[in-house]
Amino acid sequence: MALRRLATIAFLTAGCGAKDGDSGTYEATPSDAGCGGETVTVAPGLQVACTTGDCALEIVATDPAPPDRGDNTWTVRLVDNTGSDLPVKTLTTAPFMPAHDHGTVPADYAGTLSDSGWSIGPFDLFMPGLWELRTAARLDNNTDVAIVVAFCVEG
Amino acid sequence: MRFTVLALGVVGCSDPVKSTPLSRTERLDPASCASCHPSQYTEWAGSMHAYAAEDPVFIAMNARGQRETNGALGDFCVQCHAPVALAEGLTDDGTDLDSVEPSLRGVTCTACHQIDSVDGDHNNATTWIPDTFFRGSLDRPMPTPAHGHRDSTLHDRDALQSADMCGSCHDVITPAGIELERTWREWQSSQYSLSDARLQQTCGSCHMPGRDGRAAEVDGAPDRRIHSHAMPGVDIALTGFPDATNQRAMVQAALDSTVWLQLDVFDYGLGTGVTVSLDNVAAGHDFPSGSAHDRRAWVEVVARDATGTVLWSTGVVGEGVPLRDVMATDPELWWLGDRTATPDGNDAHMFWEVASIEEGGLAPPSRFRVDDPRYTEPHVTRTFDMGTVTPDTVEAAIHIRPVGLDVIDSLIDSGDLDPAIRDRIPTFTLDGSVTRWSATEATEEDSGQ
Repeated sequence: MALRRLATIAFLTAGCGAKDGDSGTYEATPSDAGCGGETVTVAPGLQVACTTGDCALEIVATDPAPPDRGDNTWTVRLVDNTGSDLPVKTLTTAPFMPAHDHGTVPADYAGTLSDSGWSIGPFDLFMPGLWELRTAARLDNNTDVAIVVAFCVEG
Repeated sequence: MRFTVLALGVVGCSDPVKSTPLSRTERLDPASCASCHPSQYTEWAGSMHAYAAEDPVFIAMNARGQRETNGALGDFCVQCHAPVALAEGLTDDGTDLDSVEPSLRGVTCTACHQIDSVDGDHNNATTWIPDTFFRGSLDRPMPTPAHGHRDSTLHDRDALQSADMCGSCHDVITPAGIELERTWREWQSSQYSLSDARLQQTCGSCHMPGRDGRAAEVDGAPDRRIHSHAMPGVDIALTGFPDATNQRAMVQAALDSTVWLQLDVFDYGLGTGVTVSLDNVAAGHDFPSGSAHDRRAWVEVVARDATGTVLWSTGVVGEGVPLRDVMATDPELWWLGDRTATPDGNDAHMFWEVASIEEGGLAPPSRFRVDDPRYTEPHVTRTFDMGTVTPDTVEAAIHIRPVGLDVIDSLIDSGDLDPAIRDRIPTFTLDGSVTRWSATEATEEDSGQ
């Protein structure tokens, strides 16, 4: 009888059986939208190096946070290797899906300078998958720098 | 004692809102789903799937089609617009849908979630099994006495097979054999139908965006990646219907990013030309798609002088003016969409008259190499000769009406459609396509300023 009771409990547990091991909780099963491991997690404070290696684009804020399908606006700043702001004359960005070979509509966005940094957008990340925010900046000394932020938009 | 254990087990497992199995009647009624799946139900209730059998244009077109074909149309329309009512034997041809319970009209929860297999690629070639199981793609679903669960790749946005289920109704072949609606086929020809995860975009990838939330509002339900059931496209409700304002906003947002328009204005010596380039960037199918023979999408280009006086234009279509009427006076009009003809070569106004079709939508990026004969060029251009004008600005945009006013007028004239519907047909402007060229800015660019 005891064995039968144990079997009953075991059966019920299997029926519920949707719980993960010891945690006792269900796990969400997010889609990686085919992004693989080529991306960074975009969050305030993230710095992505310029292609020249001597500066970085720092994420100040994103709306929504983290980036998601639909309209997105990012605030960024350009810093040198010591973390100090670089004097930027112009900053433009072009969101792009490299695997698809298409960008957004419109294709590029001019940044506007505010107290908290350069605001770019809103740009519509209309598909899930791997996006690149391709940013070009011209410094006050007319030096051009480029930064590519590769990130994943979940499905 | 065993019964105590059993009871504890079930309650501890799910604590469902619905503690008894749904009856057959309840399983067919979307309202039964609302208590455990309220967000999905609310989204669906304002969707065009819910509206499929309520749409006055559908009702009018079906009524006229049945009359003009002496009933030969049969269940052609209703097989996708009211599949449950048809399967339940509540209608044969859709002309009597008024007598069918609203819960059994339209594309309801059961209409999709009890599709067990897809057996063809058009005209709802599916096997629908109204048993006690609902099909979905949940990983380890919460047990519930309300209904059983069957895991199904047809219902998994991340699986290419899910597009087959959508395509079963979003591709339509007429009794005359005309491939009238080809959304699935268009997607099949695109790079988005490839199994490469970096490229793959299913119907649900775009039309059912994901969010974190609960698949069922029951105690203990986990947060998952769930998806919207609002499924905006281009059609909107033309009569009072839930969530209509939000649906319209979602349609507008989806359209806004669809097509990239570029302008190139140039002096060719004897006058001024303008080249308009269009790229279908965001639709995983043609633009327009679906009933592209009834949709009216076009390109507007307007050249003005410094005072704002119009020097040259094409595609200027007044509010309430049918696009077809403009064609007579605007030979350069760039009409995006299908053109259909009757057997004697005249324009076909109703789909049952169609004997031939000329596809004219903007294709999405192709899966094929440039040297493949199946390759389609997503970058489409057209050059207009504006003559001897010297414009100060040139502005362009793309507009779309989900259904042409000429189609609406024809249905009104035949007595099948309420004339009040005409004013409710929207004209959407794709905001992302609105592009402006300025002579001043072009000169500054040329001089490197």
